[in-house]
Amino acid sequence: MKDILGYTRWCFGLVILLFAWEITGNRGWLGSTWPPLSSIFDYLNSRPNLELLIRNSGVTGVNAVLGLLLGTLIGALLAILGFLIPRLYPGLSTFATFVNALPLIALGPLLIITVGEGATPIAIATLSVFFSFFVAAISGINQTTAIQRDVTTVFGASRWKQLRFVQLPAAVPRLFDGLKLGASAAVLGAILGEWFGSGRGLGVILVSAMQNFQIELLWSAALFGTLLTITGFVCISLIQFAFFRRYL
Amino acid sequence: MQPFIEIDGVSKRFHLSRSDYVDALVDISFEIYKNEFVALVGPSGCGKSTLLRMIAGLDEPSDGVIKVGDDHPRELIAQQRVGMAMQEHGLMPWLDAAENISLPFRLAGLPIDTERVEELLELVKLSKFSKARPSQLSGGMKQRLSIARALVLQPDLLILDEPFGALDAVTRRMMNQELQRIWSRKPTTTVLVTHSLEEAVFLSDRILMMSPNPGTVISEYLVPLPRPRTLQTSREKDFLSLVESVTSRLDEICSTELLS
Repeated sequence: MKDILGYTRWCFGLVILLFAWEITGNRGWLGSTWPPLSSIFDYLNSRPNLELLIRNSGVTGVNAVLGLLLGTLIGALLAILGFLIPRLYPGLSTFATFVNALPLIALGPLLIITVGEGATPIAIATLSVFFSFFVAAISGINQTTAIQRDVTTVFGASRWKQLRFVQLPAAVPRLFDGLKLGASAAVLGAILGEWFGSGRGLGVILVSAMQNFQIELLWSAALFGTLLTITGFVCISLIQFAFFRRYL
Repeated sequence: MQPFIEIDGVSKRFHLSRSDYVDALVDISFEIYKNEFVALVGPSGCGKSTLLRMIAGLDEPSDGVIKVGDDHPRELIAQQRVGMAMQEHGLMPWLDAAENISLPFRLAGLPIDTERVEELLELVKLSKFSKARPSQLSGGMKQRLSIARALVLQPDLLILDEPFGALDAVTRRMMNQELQRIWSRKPTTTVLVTHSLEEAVFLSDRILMMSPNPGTVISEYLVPLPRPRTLQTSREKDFLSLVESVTSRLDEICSTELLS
C-alpha cells in the first residue's frame, strides 16, 4: 500500500515536471533555446532523426562501456597492488589523486595527438572511471574489522590469500557502489572525448547541433545521453541485486 | 622438560607522542609447557591482552624475547599452527557456518577437509546450523563457531582473548563447560586472557596474575583440580577456596592501585 502511494506520488511529480517543461517551452519563457517537450518528440518521430540518434548513442555507449571496463580494471589493479605491497600504497594514492585532479578538458588535445581521435573518448571515459573505482576498492578492502584481520593473520594467510578470501568478499558492496558512480562518469567522459574531434558519437552531435542552432537535435542528444547513463546505472543495479539475492 | 613458550625479559613501551610514552609491560619472564592451559588474569589495563598479542605473533615486544617452539611466534603462524578466538567473534558474515570453519584451510592453501569441518560442527553442537550465516546465530553459537574455527587445523597453540566476555553469565558457564570438554579431549597449549576468575580456575592448569603500572606478573597459582571438570567441580570446596584466594589477591592489587 505504502509502495503504491510512493509510486503514485513519483508519477504525479514527473507529470507536473513534464507539464511545466511543456508550458515553459510553449510560452517561450526561457527564450528560444528552451523548446517545448512536444517539439523534441516531434523531432524524434521522424525515422532518419531517430536513427541518427540511436546510431550515435550506440557509438557513445560502446565508448563508455569500454572506458568503464578499462577504468575499473586499472582502478582495481592499483587498489590490489596497494594492498599487496603496502609500501606502494601512499604513492599510488597520491598518483591517483594527481591524475584525477588534471582537468580532462586540458587533457583532450593532448590525447588527440597521442592516442588519436578514435581512442580519445575511451581514454577520457577510462580516466573518469578509474579514480572513483580505485577509491571505492580501497575503502572496500578496508571494510574488514580489526578482529577479522587479526584472525586472518594468525591463521598464517599470505597477503594474496587474505585479499582473495577475506578483503575482496568484504569489499563487494563498495565495488558495486564504485561501478555505479563509474557508469555515469563513463558516459560523461565518452561524450567529452567525442567533443574533441571524434567522427561519431553523441558528443559530435552535441557540438554540431550547437553550432548550427539545431535546438531540437541538441535536446534530443542530451536526452539520449541521459538515457545511456540511466541504462548503465540500472544494469549495474540489476547485477548487484542478482548477486546479493544469495545473501538474503 | 623443555618449555614450549619462553618469555624472557619482555617489555612493551607505547609511544604516545615524541616525548611521552607508557610502559605497558616491564621485564616479564615465564614459561609455558606443552599442552598446558595457562590463564592470564589481572585488573583492566595490566597489559594481559598486549602480552597475548605478542605471544600470538601479532605484535613485537620493545625489549626481550618471546619464543614459541624454539622459534619466533611468526614462524608458528607461517606454519599455520596457531588458532585464535577473541571476544568479538570475527566471523565472516558472507560465509555460512561450515564455510567459516573451513576458512583456515583456504587461507592456508590446503584442501578443505570436509570430514574435519563436520567433526568440529558436531563438537560445538552446530551440525544443524552448518548452512546458517553468522547473523542468523545467537551470541553463544557465534562464539562456539569461532572456537571451532580456531581448532580446525589442530593448532599447537591456542590463543583465547576473553572468548566468552560478551555473553551472559548463564551462557558463559555453559560455554566454559563446553570448552573444558573439548579441550580435555585433545589438550593443546592454550593461553587464555579473562576477567572472570571462576573461568580461569575452571579452565586452566595454572593462573598468572598480573598487576598494572607497569604491567608485571606478580602471582602464580597452580590449579590441581582433576579433569574432566564438570559443573559439579565448580561447586566443590577445592574449587571455591581457590577462586576465593585468587579473588582476594586481585582485590588487594586493585585496592593498592586505587590508593596509590
